[in-house]
Amino acid sequence: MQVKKTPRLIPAPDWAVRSIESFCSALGARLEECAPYPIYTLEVPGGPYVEAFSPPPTAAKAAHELFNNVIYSIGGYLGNIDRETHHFNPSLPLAHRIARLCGTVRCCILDERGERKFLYGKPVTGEYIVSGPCTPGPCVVVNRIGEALGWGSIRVKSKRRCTPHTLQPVKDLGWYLRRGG
Amino acid sequence: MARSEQVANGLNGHPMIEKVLSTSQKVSAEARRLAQRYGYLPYMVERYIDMLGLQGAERLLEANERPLPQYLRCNDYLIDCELLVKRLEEKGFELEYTPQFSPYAYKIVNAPIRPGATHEYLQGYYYLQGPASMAIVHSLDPKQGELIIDMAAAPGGKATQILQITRDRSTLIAVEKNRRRMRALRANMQRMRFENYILVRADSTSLNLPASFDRVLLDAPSTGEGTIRKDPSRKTSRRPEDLLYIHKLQVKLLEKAVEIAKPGSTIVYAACTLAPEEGEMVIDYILDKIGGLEVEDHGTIASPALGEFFGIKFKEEVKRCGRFWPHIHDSEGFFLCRLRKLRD
Repeated sequence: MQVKKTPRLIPAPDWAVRSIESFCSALGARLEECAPYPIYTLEVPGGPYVEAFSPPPTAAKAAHELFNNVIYSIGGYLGNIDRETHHFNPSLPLAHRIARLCGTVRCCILDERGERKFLYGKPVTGEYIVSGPCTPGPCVVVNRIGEALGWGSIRVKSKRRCTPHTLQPVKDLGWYLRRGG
Repeated sequence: MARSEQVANGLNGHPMIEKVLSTSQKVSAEARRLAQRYGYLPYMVERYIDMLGLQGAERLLEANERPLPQYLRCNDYLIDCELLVKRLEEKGFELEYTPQFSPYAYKIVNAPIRPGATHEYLQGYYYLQGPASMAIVHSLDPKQGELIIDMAAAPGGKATQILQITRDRSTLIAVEKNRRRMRALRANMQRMRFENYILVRADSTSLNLPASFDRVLLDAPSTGEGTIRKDPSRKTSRRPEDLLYIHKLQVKLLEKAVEIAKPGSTIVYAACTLAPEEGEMVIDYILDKIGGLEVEDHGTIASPALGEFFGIKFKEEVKRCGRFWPHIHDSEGFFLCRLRKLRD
């Protein structure tokens, strides 16, 4: 008989915490800035990835006391982690949290046209980038007034000159329309 | 026998419901004429005439011909509502403030683009939600620090409103059975940027929980007769046997709501419908069956609930429940009732 596999909410294993910490560090943020509360993972036994959360303590407590075996999701979603490669895919709620730190973390600011392109899931070229990191790697993407638009990855053409570079979309708010239901 | 009938036979419900359903199928000539004119099943119009009189029924049918305008609920947890209005007006939107439903409610009078595709929508600055649906959460009156459950939560309009009102400082359990609808619920919770919630995929009738909740919201699955302005196919898509099935399911859900509510707590029962079998008859039955419940003022602009239907008189206190009528409130049709659980 096939046993139905239900997701379990458990304190995040070390490898998952390390994966999140490494992503935050690549952005220039501390782990506590990405995850202000203890990290939990929700995993289906044997599934290909786990989802990571940093829920407020009251939600975590209620989850454990009342619902541990039927939880679908919980607040403070950080992203998902590939169980094999340990690659961390950041979530949109995390982008909103990290966008508040622009100035001290890797942050790419787009103008109005760049914003539109990005929200359609298209790469954004240098002329639409107001400012951004000069080195390749992940960054949080914001508009001119600091509102988070999602996650991107900076590509640099020349190592000597900072511009022009390209912003490749990783996950943008348009996801809520395309996939979010 | 249809599956719904089989299921219904296994559940309890108001003892008079079958009599009411058979009576309402004896359709008068007036009801037939109006049903033909407005495209309804005749039994539905017969019922409207019994509830509202001939003139009232005609006003309701006429109101249902006008599509329901879209309303938005400004998420003041993230943005000052005046600023949101300014930003949308700069994009060519025309909004009308409608505080009679909620202090965050705006009617969208004119929209140059789809309201669900603006940058502000993606930022979580507003939620598109029916006006009566917004009023129901104010009847629940959620408070910070409370443990609250929304027993049929998708797609998340009321769930996000609960967290908005409590500034994300209550703990919300949002339950949904359907996987596809659960995805929409999760996306909306994240888009509106709340964190103090747990999403549980389960059938609320089978929740095994202690009486631990400070507030319980049950916006019950219904025939959707209150949504005819949005979906005219509802004029003909529901048969009397569907009403019987849904009534019994609603009773079962409300019994569960009472079971998991703390003594002294508030339970709000709502259903997006005009059918008394899904409103007054559910409450009348539950008051009879479960002691220690009290009907409280719902605290919204809804009209009083019905006192009787096809000659069946409901308990006097059932009138304290409320009804949103399309022809009176220019909203969707909704039934709501605020109950207090006095003891276990």
